[in-house]
Amino acid sequence: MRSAALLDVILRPGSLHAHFQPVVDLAAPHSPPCYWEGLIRGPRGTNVERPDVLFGYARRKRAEVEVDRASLRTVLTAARALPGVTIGVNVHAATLAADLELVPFVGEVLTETGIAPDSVVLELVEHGQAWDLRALRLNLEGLRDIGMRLALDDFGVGQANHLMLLECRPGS
Amino acid sequence: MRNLRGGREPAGSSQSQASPARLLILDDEEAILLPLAQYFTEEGYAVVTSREPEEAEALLECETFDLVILDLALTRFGREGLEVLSSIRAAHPWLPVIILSANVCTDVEEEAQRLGVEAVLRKPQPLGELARVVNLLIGRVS
Repeated sequence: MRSAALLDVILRPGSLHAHFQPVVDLAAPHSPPCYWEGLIRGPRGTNVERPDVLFGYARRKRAEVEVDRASLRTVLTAARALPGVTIGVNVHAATLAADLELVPFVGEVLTETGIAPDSVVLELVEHGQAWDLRALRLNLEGLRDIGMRLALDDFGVGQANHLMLLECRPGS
Repeated sequence: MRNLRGGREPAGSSQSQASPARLLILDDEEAILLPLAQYFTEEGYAVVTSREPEEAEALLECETFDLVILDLALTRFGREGLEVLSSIRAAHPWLPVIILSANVCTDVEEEAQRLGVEAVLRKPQPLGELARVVNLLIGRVS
């Protein structure tokens, strides 16, 4: 029986879950994965278990920041079961452009989970382009400063654009 | 039943495939959703229910449906049903929509027609009559 608003269900601790897939270098197919990308799934048995529906819903509820934060915490918490590997975690560009407390939040989650910042690749996901570029730049610099690596997810797909490539400077 | 217009051929209709036709039912009352879902599932449809407009809109963006049954009283989630209808129409112009709602006044009914709704049905509605309209709109012989 559903009674709570769906967003409350999504943000309930333990509601989201993560799966990991290897990201490999096609030029070196026999090498170990570059890192393991954490893929988020919504609450089991709900309409938002699929990530596209989950984030489509979050976007419409103007709750991308909250859902991205919950996803990041879920992935990094689950990653404790994979010691010694680099973890990729997705964050929407809209969140980087809206959440001025993102860097301290990420630092808090890294401390909680005991994962070193340089063991995390933060993958930027783009949807739309109505960003506050100043906030986006501040967050990107802040994340680099604490030692995280940056990547662009699905670059060239959908509304991905070259501006993000310049702002993000992936792998730099 | 009121204002049943001619059924359109739904884009991407699953009628031509082996899989059952897919219905999306949006109503903020669980007590309405559960019996509707059970009835149409027993009728051979694949039914997805949603209590929130944003959830339904995200589902429509990511999945294919053959018909939507929409309540108009969605104020619990801060949205008006006609606004949701307008949003669905804009994104999915060929998707048949049935309004199933209590207290549909003439003005609302006219606005729903202007927005291109296929049928307006008042609650309470015999399930058999609702099923007849659904079958008609998605081209299934009842």
